[in-house]
Amino acid sequence: MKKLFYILICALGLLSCSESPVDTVFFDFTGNRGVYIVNQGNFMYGNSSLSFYDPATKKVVNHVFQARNGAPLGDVAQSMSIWNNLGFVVVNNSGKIYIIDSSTAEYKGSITGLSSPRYIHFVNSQKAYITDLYARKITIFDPSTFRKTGEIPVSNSTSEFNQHSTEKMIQYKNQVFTNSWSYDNKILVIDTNTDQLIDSIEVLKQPNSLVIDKDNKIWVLTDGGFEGNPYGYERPGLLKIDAETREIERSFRFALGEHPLSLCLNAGKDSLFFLNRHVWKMAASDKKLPEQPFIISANTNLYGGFYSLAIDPSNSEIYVGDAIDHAQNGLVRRYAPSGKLLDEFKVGISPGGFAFKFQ
Amino acid sequence: MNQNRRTLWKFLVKSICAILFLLLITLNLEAQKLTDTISIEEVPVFGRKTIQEAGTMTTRIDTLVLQMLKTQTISELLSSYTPVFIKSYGRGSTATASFRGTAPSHTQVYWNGMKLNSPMRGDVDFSLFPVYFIDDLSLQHGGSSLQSGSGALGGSVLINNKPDWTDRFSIRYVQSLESFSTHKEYLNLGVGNGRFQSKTRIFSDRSQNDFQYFNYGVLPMHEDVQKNAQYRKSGLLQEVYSRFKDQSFSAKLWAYQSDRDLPQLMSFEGDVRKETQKDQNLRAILNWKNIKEKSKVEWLIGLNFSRLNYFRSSTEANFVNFDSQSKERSFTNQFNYDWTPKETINFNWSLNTTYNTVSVFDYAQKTGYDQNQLAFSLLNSAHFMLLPQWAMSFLFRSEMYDGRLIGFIPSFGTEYWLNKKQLSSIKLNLSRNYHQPGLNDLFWLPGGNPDLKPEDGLSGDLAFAYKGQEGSASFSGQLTGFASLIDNWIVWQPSASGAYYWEATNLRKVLARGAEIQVSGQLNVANGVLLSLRSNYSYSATSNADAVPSVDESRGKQLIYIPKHKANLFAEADFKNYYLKINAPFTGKRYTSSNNFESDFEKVLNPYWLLNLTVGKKVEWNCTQADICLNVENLTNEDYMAILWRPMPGRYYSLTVQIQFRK
Repeated sequence: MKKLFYILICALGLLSCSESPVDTVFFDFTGNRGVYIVNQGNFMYGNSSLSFYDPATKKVVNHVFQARNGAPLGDVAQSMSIWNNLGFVVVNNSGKIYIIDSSTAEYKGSITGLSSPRYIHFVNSQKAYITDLYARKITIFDPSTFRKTGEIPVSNSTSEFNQHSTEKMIQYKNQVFTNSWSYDNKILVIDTNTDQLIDSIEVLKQPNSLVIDKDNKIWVLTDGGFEGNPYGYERPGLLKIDAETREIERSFRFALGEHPLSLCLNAGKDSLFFLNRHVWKMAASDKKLPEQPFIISANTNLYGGFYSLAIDPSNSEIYVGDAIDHAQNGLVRRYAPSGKLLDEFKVGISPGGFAFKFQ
Repeated sequence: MNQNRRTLWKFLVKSICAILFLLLITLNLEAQKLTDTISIEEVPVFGRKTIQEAGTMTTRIDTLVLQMLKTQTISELLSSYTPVFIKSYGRGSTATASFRGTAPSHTQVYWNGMKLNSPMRGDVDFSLFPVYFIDDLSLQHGGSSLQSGSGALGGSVLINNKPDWTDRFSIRYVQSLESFSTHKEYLNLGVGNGRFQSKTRIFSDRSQNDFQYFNYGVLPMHEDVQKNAQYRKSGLLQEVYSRFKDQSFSAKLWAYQSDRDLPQLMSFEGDVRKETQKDQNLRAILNWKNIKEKSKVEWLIGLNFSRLNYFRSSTEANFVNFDSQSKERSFTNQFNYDWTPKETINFNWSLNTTYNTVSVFDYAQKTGYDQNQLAFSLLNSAHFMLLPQWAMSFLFRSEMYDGRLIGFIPSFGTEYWLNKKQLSSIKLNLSRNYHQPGLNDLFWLPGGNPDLKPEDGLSGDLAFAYKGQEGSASFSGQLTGFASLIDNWIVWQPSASGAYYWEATNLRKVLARGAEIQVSGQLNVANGVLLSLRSNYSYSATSNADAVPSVDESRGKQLIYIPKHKANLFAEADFKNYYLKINAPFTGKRYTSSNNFESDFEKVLNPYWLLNLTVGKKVEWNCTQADICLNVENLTNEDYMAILWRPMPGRYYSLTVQIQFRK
């Protein structure tokens, strides 16, 4: 008995030794066209990650941020934007933006102290905007110094709901249009010269994405909320708005219970793509919503189909993210503009965003 | 430094006051000697099991362990001394159980016979149960739990209070000072005689919880201090017992409250966030028993009120994300009749009625629900000794809730002793069990699914138990193998409709199988040194057994956050009035993705051993006992994570003083 006791104590001492750290991995994507995939990970798991895919060699490298920098990306990476060979990764629930060299994934700096950041839009070389789900303001920063330089208040005190949240951004002349998704029905218009909220456009309930086509028409997709939603529940819609007059020119409605999201444009900016379990495509000139999906998801009976969508603005190739059960490595499929499958590869958990790198 | 001195000073003053108080009471009692002492017949205690226990897989926690962990919570007790895995979000934070690799809602908790699981979430937060409030804790593994109630697909935890009829007057005061500005105080007051007993316990536990850690979750990495993790917990337990001839009556009241700040993940660098959780519980039980030679009638009525407020806001933006207030009320009425016509036969009938009401509303999200649920459960059980060495039990429950009838939930158990002294035996248990969905699963907005079916489980256990003694050494052990197949396992999954929110579904068929080994031994070494060793190990493989689309790689893989291996080791050496205790819990690797993928950067939670050490001394002086001990937690300063990217403290210390007076 005594011996057993001593053996157990010694074994404990040995087992408590810690493991050696993993070596840094260096990357060089200089000159390669490619796409960064933003894997959101799970809320409060801190397991978001970045993947890099090279369509020429069909090679994917996962966890590029952690491999290069030795630290995790953070909790729920929402989006990434590339500007001037820098990648700005918005880490939503960590309240920060990590900036990396887009050719080497090396950490360059961060912007911290944010509330619930969502997307970045570069106005010029001294000015960029960060939208936010909760802050009720847009944060202005200098993309060359990573310093915050101001903010644009977008609070709506007349509503019983916490308005306005801000999401995706598009620019027309000196105006940035952003959609207010959460418990809201507005597209906000920001003057980029004065950094002021100058107007808003009332659309349908819960606009989740927007794009601007070659004819300067803004297209807005709304999801209509959910059953029991205190803000309301209605049929989702797709709206066409003239950027100059800010008038709604056309409105298409989906059936109640459908959940369209991720509105995108092709390279020519004349065809619209969106997800509604499958990938759907319609010409900007079409008079009605498409009846047949463009690319069919095989997993709609269990997990609700595709999760994310992006189109390469240089060649119209289609990238579709499939998060499967949102708890395992997701799958990205790359299709030719014709809809033909070109490649598929495994990435991180919940692939939700894409950032194209051209040089 | 000044703060430490102040704390020490306060502690000394309090200790002196406590001693003076005790002396005063002693003198006072000497003056008014009790005269109504009733002499109680001594009851011999045999190693033999009662007939009701034969064939069941039950583990009782040693009262010495309860005494040793008096300043801890049940989550720490289960984690360190039982095969139950506790998923804890950190020191003082929410802790849920996984029993035999099942979900938190598959562990049912009963306090003196009343179920305490939240009707809303289905689970129990074990960090809200101080060990100080319990006198007896046992586990019913797998199908053996049907004796107490249905729904425990993993097993049940039974916590009980009981009177000490020999107590005339006792007072016990415990104070513990711990690292990270943690102060714990406990007071127990007992008065009574052979017919009446009253026991009052109060406690307070508060901590800044601001431990240092190295933050490798951000860039640049740096030394950090845990922020927003403070907690304050306090509670009262009042018990009253009386007995007269064959009747006995008891009343118990449990009031508890906890205020906790919830810390952010290591990677958080956002604006100032306030995230808090407040829990309040009020529980009461009235119990009446009539015990005759061959029968026992018992009636229990109980209520369990809980309130939970969860709040989260971005302070700078003045934006409230969540302000959720939930109120749960449960009323229990249970009638039990136990009949033992012969020493070898026992029958038991029990009818339980439970009415739950739940009201949840989030003032920020403006969503919520109000629901209620009425459930009936009828138990019929029979235990037989077919031969002096062979016992058998059969029980079945019939349950009805919300108009749904589940007519037959059976369990069959048998035990065969391999020798006449009942030192070693083989046990077998086969059962069906089911677990009804929590009200959140049914009605949460958005994503609750009113069409959910109950989870349906089939399980079997086979165990071999052994007890032995040789000279001054004694040994006991049990090896158990178990398997259960749970159909309609409820999971929250991305909505099949393609919506952005998740939905509750009966998606999976889960196979949980494994083994439990429990070993304990005691050795009386010469020179008055007593060595004891207790250890257990459990292996639980829990995997998704259902067919799913080809891209889904989760089939057959271990469910996330459930370790396959868990072990713990406890060793104690006693010499005269000194003692040394070592406790070493081990937690195996846990996956955090459903396909169990791991690479250098894919985050798998690494296995870890913790080593905790206690040294102490007991002093006895007439009717007064004192015990002082120093405790070192995480002696090896192990860097580990219990949950992804949540820091855990390194080595830390506590000093505990207990003074007890008993007449």
